[in-house]
Amino acid sequence: MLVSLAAIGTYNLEKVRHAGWWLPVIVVGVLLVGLGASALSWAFTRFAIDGGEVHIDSGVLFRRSRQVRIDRLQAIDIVQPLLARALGLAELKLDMAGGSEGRVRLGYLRLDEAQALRAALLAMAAGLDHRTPEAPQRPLVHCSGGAIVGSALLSTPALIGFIWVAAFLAGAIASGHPGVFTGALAGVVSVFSAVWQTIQQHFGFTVADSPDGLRLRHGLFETRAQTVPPGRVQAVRIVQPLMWRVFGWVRVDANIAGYAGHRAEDGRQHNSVLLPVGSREQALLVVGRALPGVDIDAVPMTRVPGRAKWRSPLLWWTYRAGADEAIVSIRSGFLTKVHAVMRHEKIQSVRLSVGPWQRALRLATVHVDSTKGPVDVVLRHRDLGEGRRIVDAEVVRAERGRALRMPDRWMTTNSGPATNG
Amino acid sequence: MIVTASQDAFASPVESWVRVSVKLRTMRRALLVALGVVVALVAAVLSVIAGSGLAAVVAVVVVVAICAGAFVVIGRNYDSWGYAERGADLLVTHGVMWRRLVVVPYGRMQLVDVTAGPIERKFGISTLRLHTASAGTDARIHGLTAAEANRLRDRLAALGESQSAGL
Repeated sequence: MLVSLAAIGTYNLEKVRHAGWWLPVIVVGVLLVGLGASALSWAFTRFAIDGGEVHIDSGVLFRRSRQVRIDRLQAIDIVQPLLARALGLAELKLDMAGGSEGRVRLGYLRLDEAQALRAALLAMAAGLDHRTPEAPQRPLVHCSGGAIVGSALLSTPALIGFIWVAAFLAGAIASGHPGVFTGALAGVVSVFSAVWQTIQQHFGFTVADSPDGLRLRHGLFETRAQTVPPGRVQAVRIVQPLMWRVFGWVRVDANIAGYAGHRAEDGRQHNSVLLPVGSREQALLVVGRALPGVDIDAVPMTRVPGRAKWRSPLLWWTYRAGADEAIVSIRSGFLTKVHAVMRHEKIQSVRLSVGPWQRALRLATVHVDSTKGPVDVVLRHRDLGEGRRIVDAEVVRAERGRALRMPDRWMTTNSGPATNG
Repeated sequence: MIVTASQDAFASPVESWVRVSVKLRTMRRALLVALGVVVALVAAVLSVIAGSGLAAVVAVVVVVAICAGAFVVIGRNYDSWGYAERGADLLVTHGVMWRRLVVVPYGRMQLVDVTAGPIERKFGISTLRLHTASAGTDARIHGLTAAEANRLRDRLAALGESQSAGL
């Protein structure tokens, strides 16, 4: 089977936005050159899907040929920047394991073509025939616009921004010089552009469940439809910033291999959020789908020894950790509460560390290493002997878990060979 | 009692840790002595130029004292290094003040590096580093003889291949 499709060039208007209104000639010139370059790059890009691999040839002067194994697929995104959306186009991004080098972009395609291609790639990654129709999806959670905006405004950076403004306002009133207030502007602009960015990115966030994994749709201007296949979520955490407690809101973040570390490439952080804001019940629903067969509240948790207060006087009483047959789980934090969990079989390595202070107190910290991402599973300040027992137990459980793990092609079984077109 | 508890927590899971080559200690001490001689000479010469023989003596004594302390620290640090190969994973431990133990399953290894700088090469030793998909995994072994480093690298690569677990 050999499918060949041509991609359409990227019309990147942002490049020319700052050229200045007084020299439209330059604007038009740059636009034309940009269009020409995009058209050339488009004309020289070809891709094909063959057996279990995607081949991409690109480059005008320096030809580049890449092959990626579909069963190593970690996630597929369909991204539509505003202009592409207006033209009915979309870009397909494939995240393979292996950092920024492991990322493949196919763009631009017509939206329906992109969706058809995604369905075919997911079917092949699952170990099915590529003609298998797209899996049906069942909506799990939809975040209302009010919750998205409210949660962004109540986030900790935004709160600091409010306090900043209030402080300058008070200063301006107290000193009688309104000019003092202008000093607040620099901070305000940076904080609220971050808040706006969050709102823009998460607006209309919808989480749906399908046999192909979790599907996330979000974005106000630039929309993004993410598919995270089963077994690709490495670790999960439920976070509650201070002011979110008023409404009982929480956020769900995840480590997904290939998602972290793309900031430099497209100028913004990749979305590692599975649910930007929701009730704890909704969060548990999403976590339950990300880590099937796991009840994160059923894990027996223990606190750290009281002597840990000499090492960590403010937070020692918030540290809790535990493990059951499937997952290792930690809770920590007082102002911002964090509950992080990870399946044993996803462990990359386990570390035990003891600093001089900890040694004097007979305490040890256990790091359970996951792939790059927002979730860190760190068991702080356990009893020294217990720390080593945790390390040994985690290693054994991880080994057992890897032996029983789900196959990469999630619609196949471990024993049967995968077949596809 | 405290020391015993700490030793137990970092005990080898097999009979004992494999020690790294004593050439690591030799190399570090040689570097220390070379550095100490240079610093002592410069300090002494500057003091003499400034016209104070006493300052020169004091400077040399101070440098010698610091070097003697560092000499002992290098020895203790060398003693702290150890590794063990088990059926499914590699364990590495090191550190005196900050003790570390890392366990890396062979199936999680993404690549194994063996490096040797010019000075390490003179002493015939290399450094081996293990990389997993996690940025946190800090598994390196200093002071392996070239032969042992190559043996370990080939063995780890073969085991990593046969036990590879995807992600």
